[in-house]
Amino acid sequence: MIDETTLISQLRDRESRNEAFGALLATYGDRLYWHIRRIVVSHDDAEDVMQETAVKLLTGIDGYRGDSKLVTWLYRIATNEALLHLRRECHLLQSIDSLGEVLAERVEAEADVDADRATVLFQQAIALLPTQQRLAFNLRYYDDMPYEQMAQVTGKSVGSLKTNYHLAVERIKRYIKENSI
Amino acid sequence: MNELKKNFGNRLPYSEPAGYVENLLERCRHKAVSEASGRNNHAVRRLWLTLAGAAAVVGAVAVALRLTVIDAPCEGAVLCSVESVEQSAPLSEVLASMTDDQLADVSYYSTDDIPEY
Repeated sequence: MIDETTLISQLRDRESRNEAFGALLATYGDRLYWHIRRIVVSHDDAEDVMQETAVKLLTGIDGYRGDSKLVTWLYRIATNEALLHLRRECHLLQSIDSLGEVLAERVEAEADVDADRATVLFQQAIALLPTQQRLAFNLRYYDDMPYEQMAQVTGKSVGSLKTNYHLAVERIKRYIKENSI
Repeated sequence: MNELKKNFGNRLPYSEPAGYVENLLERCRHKAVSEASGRNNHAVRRLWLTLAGAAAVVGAVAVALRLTVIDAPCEGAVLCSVESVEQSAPLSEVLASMTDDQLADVSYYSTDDIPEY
């Protein structure tokens, strides 16, 4: 695995950019894809967002100042692009939070035929969370991300992230209890 | 959270298409190239629109200037219209200032006295 500094300088160099981009996707592609997919749910939407993220990454690499780790920067771009994608689905004065029901239905539609019902219910509970709670939960639960890193990804404070995370856990537990057979 | 991890782990009810991440590089490159050419086409369109707008402004200014020049008195100017030439012609002014008797004296020379060339 190439170290971060070398990878960044190769991405900035036109001649080695292609190969470096391939190495970047090989290292982080899977994580980024699933992070995006947990936000937008649909594979087609995740693919669109993933490609937008890649374009933003390539065009913005010269502006990367190294204030945070490269993976944090990648997560930040991916998160912003995913939220922007959801924003486009909303009406003018509507909040992304209002998409909860739509996303919960999408979980059902996207689920594999042999998917475990409990897993579907769990994902629907997450989909119904307010956006900030959902983000905090996904990053902490699935990516095991430290709160300080989450703060750099989301632009929120550590305190609000911790609050959002714990509120999310309570809401998920309540939803599962109310909707379990 | 331990309770959730114990019951659900990291499982998701859906999976990614086979080979998706492996083929992602090619798809992203294709998207990046088409985005770049799209931005170039957009830039060219904007340039043409800007030029067209500038030409329209120049044309409007030229028309406004022409109207202004016609109304102004001009002596020997190329752009002057026929009316302005007639209004400023010295002969017309002289004839206009003559009395009927003076005009009669001028027309003293009958056509019979004027030799035919």
